[in-house]
Amino acid sequence: MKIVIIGNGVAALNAVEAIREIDKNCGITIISKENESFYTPCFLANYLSGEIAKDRLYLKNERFYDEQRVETIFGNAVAEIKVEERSIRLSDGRELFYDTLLIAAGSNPIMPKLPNIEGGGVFSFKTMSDADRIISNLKKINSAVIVGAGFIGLEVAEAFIKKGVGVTVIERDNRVLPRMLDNETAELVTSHMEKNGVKIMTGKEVKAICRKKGNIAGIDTKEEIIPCELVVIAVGVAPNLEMIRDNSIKVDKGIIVDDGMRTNIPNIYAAGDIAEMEIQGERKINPIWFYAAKGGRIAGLNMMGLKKRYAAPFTDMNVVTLFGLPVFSAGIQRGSKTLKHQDSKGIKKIYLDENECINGVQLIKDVAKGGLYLSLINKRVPYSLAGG
Amino acid sequence: MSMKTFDPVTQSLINRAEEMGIETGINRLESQLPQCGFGQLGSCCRMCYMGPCRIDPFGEGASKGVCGATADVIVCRNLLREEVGGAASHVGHARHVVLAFQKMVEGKAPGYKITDRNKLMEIASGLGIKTEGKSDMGIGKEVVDKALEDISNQNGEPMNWLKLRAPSREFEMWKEQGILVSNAHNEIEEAMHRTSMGNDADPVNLLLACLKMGLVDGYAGLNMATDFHDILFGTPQITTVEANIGVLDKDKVNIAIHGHNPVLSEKILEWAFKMKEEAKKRGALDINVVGVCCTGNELTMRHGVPLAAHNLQSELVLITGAVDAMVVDMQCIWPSLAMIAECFHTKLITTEPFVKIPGAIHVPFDVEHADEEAKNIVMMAIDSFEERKGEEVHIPKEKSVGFAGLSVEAIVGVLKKINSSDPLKPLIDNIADGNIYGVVGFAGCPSIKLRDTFMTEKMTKELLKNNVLVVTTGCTAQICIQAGLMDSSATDKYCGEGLKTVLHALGKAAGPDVPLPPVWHMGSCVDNARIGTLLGALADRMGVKISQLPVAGSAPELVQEKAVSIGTWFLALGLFVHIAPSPRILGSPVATNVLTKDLEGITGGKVYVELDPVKAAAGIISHIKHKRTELGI
Amino acid sequence: MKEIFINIERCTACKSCEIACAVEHSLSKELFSAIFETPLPAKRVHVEKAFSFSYPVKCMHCADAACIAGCPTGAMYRNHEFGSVNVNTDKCMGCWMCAMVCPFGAIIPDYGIKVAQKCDFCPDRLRKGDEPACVEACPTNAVTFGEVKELFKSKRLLSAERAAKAVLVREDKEITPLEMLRNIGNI
Repeated sequence: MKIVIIGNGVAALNAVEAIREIDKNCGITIISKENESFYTPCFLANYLSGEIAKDRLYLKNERFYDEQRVETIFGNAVAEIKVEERSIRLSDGRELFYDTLLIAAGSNPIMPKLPNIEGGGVFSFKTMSDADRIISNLKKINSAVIVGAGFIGLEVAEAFIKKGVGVTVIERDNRVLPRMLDNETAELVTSHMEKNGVKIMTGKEVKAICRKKGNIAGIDTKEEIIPCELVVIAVGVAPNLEMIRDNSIKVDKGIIVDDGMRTNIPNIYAAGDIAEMEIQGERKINPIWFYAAKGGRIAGLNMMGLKKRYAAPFTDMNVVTLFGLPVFSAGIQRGSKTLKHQDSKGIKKIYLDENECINGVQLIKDVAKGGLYLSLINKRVPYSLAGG
Repeated sequence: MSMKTFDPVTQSLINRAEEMGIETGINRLESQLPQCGFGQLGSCCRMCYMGPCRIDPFGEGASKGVCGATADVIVCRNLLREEVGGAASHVGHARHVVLAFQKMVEGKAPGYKITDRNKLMEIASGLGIKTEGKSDMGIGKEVVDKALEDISNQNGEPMNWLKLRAPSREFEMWKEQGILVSNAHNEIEEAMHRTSMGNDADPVNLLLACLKMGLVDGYAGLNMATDFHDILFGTPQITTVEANIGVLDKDKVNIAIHGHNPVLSEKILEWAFKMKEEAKKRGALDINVVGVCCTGNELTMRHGVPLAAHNLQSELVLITGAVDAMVVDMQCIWPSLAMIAECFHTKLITTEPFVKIPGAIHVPFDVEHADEEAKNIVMMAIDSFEERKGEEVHIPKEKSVGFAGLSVEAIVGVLKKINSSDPLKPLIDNIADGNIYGVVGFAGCPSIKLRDTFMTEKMTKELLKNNVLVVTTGCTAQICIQAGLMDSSATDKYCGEGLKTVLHALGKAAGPDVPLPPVWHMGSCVDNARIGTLLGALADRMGVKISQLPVAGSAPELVQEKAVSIGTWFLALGLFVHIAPSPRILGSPVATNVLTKDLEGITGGKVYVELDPVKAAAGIISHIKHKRTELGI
Repeated sequence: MKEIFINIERCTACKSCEIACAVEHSLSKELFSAIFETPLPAKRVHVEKAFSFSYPVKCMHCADAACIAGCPTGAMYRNHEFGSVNVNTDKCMGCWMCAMVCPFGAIIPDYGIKVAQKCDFCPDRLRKGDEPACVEACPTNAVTFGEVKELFKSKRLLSAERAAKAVLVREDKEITPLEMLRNIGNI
């Protein structure tokens, strides 16, 4: 059997390990458009700030691929998947045949079509090469603007401050971390960021990038021009669907898979940021490490003929630490009843639905019990029964 | 199979118990392990029903109880309550003896008499009682009144026994610190009151109350008890005795007396002698009264009665199957004894209305009918011997010999033979020139937790090697005598040259022309009074405070609350007190600091915790060295 | 493979397991020294109240451990010697993804040094053939350690015994002091 995996992230690697638990011999080829062995993207901001060395991002040693007997094709994107032929075409024109295919090609940063966005000095922040490019430009500048106050935007802002670069974060929404927090908790995070030297502007649309002699001069919002020398765009990610040129693989926002990571094509699976999973009647992409890791493993096992299912819902969740302040969020920050508890240990805010079940939880400072709430959200246990 | 290994006698009986499927303390200790950390640190409070509350020693959880009590408050309250437990035992013991004496002087207790008239006169005059023209019984009545004032006085005056027995410099220091006590019962009541919910929340004030409880224990407990024991039954003189479980004799009626109060044990001993013929008629060679725990020490000190077992061996002596009756009074009587006695023909006889054990035979012993009841009890033992005949017994052969009876009067008696006008001078001279490097008083029990490390024996040997004279009481004395440390042969075997020379000279003076042993048996646990008296006399003669002497105290194997209150009395006297295992104070930074450091600035005493015997001895020696330097000797 | 089994009905909330755990994870491994260490050792088991019960919350060393999947540094791993889930503190970067996904709240973030702490199954003790510290410390056997098969066997025996008791002791039902306190809502 010949297995081809597109992507070299955690979904891909977990799939490899799952496959090898069952079959030590089948052929596996990993294709990645990046020319890097497996690394964790979760700490790129810590690498950017200089807090950790680059080698700490590589999670497997160099022998990993050989030991797992995986053939690697790095630095080569997939141009097209040919479902009928059971083959893929690489950007260099090579063609590879597969028996079973896993698409774990991840996501790409969304780059809005802003005037003057082309021409250098504007960066995304998704890959190691993004981080390296920013680092090589950082010494030359004193100020930067980050577009987007999601957790990536705020992490990069923290890194910039630590590197001595003045930074303004511009967010279209009315608050920071709009997918994680409500107005009240977002306000706390904003003042914490500001206390640490980050300028935060919310409710502001970016109109254009201003340039002087080709160099970045500022960011134009509707009201004002914010001068800066470098721009990072962090407004989100979208599945990397560029290799899907054929109508036979069902796609919506991402590649649609069932709870076994199967696409509509029997021998094609998808996992990670690219997969739009249909679970309990809801279709969702949830581009975080945990779902990619779990999805990759399930995909790997099912590719070997097992019948594993993804049992828990694809609940939104994240945890991020900003200037030493841990912030946790899970579920939906809306509900018919709000509970709030604040003490020296931190803040806990809970949204309940009409059945007193937890819709969403936000924890600021002490996040140790986050997973407990996540499991209450997923199990729909009334909060009163959970003993407070 | 137990994880610990004890001395051969103890071990052989533990093995026999295990073979017979009988559970002993060592098995129960193992099933208790590991023991509660909050308890060990003293930071669990059960004083009210908002609790129980515990303070997290690792700083993460609760730092205060529901009422707001901190670890300091909780630990100090618990410590004071431990002291109350100890002091109440000793004051209760003393009161019991005083009341027996009262019945005697009123003519209601015909079984008792004044044995040491000199001591009665000495105490009467010390209490300011005019003796001329009065009968002994009349004087005795007045002495009783003075004693009972110490548990009834409401005038705030210091206790009579405190004025009688406290060394003068320490008395003044306590007066200055405001810790003189007037009435033992009031102090015990106040300590319980102040430690109940919502009273004293000042840890230092609570620790001062602990010192007061130490004085209650020392004077209304230890000293008072010892004084009345001596008047009633005689002041001990040097004698030789046999020790260890091997003193049981399978062909004799074996009566083991266990507990603390000679008011009972003296009568049993007397009637055992009187009933000899009855025993012989019933097939026994004799009646063999042996001592267990501290009432054993009382009989040993005055009559040379063999010492069968210390407290930890009180179960094991029954495992021999050779004890026909174990007669007990009060304190340190393990409830398990009844269960073990049941496995043999042994009768366990309780005698105190407040010490009853299911499975034991209860014979209420009151002093008015002491003779009938003692005779009755001895008869029960003889009956029991008859039941035993033919049954297998397991008596370890090992026994040791040693000296006992070294009351202060006995020691001074020996010293007088060297210098009759100034008896303490030879002792002081030898301390000054370093032949006696220092003196350490050992008190307390055999700890089941430390017994397998031979804590007491190893510490003692280290001290002797360094010319430190050891005086001891209670069950610690039994550990020493079993280890041969109270035999004259121990002098050459274990002592440094200086101490060896002194003990040889003293032995020569004492008469038998063998060296005195290097560890002196000064009596039961209440007889720690005798150690206090000896130290007071030495300090007085040298014109210094006790805290300036090159001496120390040690409870090397702490078990009982009584040892805590005795230790606190020692601290109040200004002694450096070594304790193992750790007292339950480490949960409180204040208690730990005050007791191990700051107290030195108040009374001169301090606590030293060390579980390693060699290190502990070294710590004590370094303290003695420091004191010697300060004295310029 | 041996596992820790918790019998909630037996937990009296004495917190002996908490102390034993902190001591085991101290430098000295001895109570009287551990309380003087800086930093103070952290316990990895927390006795929490749940209605009239108390429960020692700790890592269950899940077969399909969410924390291992959720760890983006590879710090969380399966120790194949004892089947436990352990954290390599050298790799851990304190992102708290493990805390985010642990359904038991068993991860203890050390916010100071940014390292996740958790029950490690006391590997030093297991290697010596001892039980984990919390198991040894539990005075009521609420926390036990054994082969899963044996644990379930004893659980089955217990439920059989209960069923039998219900038949045998209908009227004067034996009741433990702990049950008595629980019944009157005292704990």
